[in-house]
Amino acid sequence: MSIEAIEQTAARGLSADPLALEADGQGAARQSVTAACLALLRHDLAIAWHQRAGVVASVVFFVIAASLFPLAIGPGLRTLGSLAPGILWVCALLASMLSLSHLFAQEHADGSLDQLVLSPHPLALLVLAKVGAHWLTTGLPLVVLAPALALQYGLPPDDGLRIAGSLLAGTPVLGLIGALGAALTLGTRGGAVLLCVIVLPLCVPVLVFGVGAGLGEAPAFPLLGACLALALFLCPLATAAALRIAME
Amino acid sequence: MPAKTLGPHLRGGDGISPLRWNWLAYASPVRFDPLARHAAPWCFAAAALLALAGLWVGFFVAPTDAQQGEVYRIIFLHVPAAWMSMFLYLVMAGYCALALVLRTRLSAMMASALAPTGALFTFIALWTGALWGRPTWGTWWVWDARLTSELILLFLYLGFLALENAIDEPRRAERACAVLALAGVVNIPVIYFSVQWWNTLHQGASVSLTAAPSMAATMLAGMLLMTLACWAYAAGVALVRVRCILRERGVLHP
Amino acid sequence: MRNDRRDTVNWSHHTPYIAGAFGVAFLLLGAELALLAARVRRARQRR
Repeated sequence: MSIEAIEQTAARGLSADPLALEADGQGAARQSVTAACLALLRHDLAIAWHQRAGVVASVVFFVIAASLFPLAIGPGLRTLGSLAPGILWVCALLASMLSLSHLFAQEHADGSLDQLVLSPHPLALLVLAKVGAHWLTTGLPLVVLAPALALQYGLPPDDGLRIAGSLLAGTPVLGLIGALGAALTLGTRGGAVLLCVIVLPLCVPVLVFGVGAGLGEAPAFPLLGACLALALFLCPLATAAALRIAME
Repeated sequence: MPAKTLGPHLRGGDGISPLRWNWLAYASPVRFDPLARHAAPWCFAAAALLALAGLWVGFFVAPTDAQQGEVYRIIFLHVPAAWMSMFLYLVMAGYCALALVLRTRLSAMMASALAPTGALFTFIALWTGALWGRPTWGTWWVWDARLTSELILLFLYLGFLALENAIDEPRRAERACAVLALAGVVNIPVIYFSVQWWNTLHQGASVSLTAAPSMAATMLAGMLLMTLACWAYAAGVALVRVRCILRERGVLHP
Repeated sequence: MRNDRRDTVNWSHHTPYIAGAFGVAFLLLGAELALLAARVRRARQRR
């Protein structure tokens, strides 16, 4: 635990205690799983609020990237309209990947990742809480902004809402898959680029089904839902295993 | 060399006695190394013979196709390379599963040994596919389901190699890459299904590149011989490479 | 653009594609073997 990291967290009034064990006063063994997950969620949301510049930056990246495509393609609204679901989805995918690279960075830096890994609660559920907090701060804003950006592409509001719906179902899956990548690349040299190289091929089905859902293709939404269900079950387990490997 | 004079990692994992499970004995690098050293030249010899036989059948025995002419003969390398690329990924994932479950380092090293060859076969499949597509369908690349899946498979291989390269500590690298390979192998059917669905969705004028000519028996024989040749080659290369890896990671001394 | 499908008799213009496909593939396989040989030599020199 570096001195700078301790001072930083203290200066922000945050404890390097994600499970809020000191506040609880009961110790790790007596804390229930739900209480631990909620404490972790609250802790992450608090950190995100204190570091809201970083959160806003990833959302701004999404907006900028989505605005680059018309500049590159040309202002013809018909072309842009047909391309919009795909472009918005790719931008959301890239924005998610870039922000996920430091999912575990805070805990890794101040040493509280050990506390999480060694806690008696199932690590998979704690990972789920972290990914949930991350989605609330980075995925949800993309969902909210999507209809506005769809207008920029000349799409009617209905289409925009449909794209937002597909992102609503899809960005959690991206977060779950990206969390696995973040755990695997914890502390390595490659950074966000390595995370992207590892995770993007795994996200192809979500991208394909997400764009299909955005376009209103029939089986796409249920398929996206199936991906979400599968990811909710498998990804936290795999991420927990990857965290244990990284912390050995 | 009696087993009990070797360190625990050379006995094939924590607490698993190689004397109790016969096949697990070869998880011991000390036992495996001479086996690999003797097997590799035979694999290469078999590969050379099978390749000669396969290419002879492919170029001189199999007839000219009425629609595609001579250029269809590229399938004698394209299809075996594609099959091997997928097969090697499955074998790699199998070794990774063994590495995580049995905690044998040699399994993880075999996976690392297979990865570059698998990536190469994937690239060869894509390259030969492009050169087959140009004269037959007029374009260098077709986004058909199989080629697109091959492209994503190449990305999966590259991700494995990138992660292995990025982690300095060898044990952590082995286990992290194992988790990644398993995540990839679970994902492959989903990827294939989604790409198939995506392709039929946007069918349009694109024609499937893999509409191969109706298979004469000689064509099948040629492809089978070339597939076996690629398999023998991959086995030989993997055995040589894993012996290098054993020395690079300090498990065996040169 | 030449319509290759109508040319049912003279396949000779296919030769560069066949040569390119097999040639580059064998080149890459040879390169892999060469790099592997170099790796074996480096591993032996660790003695």
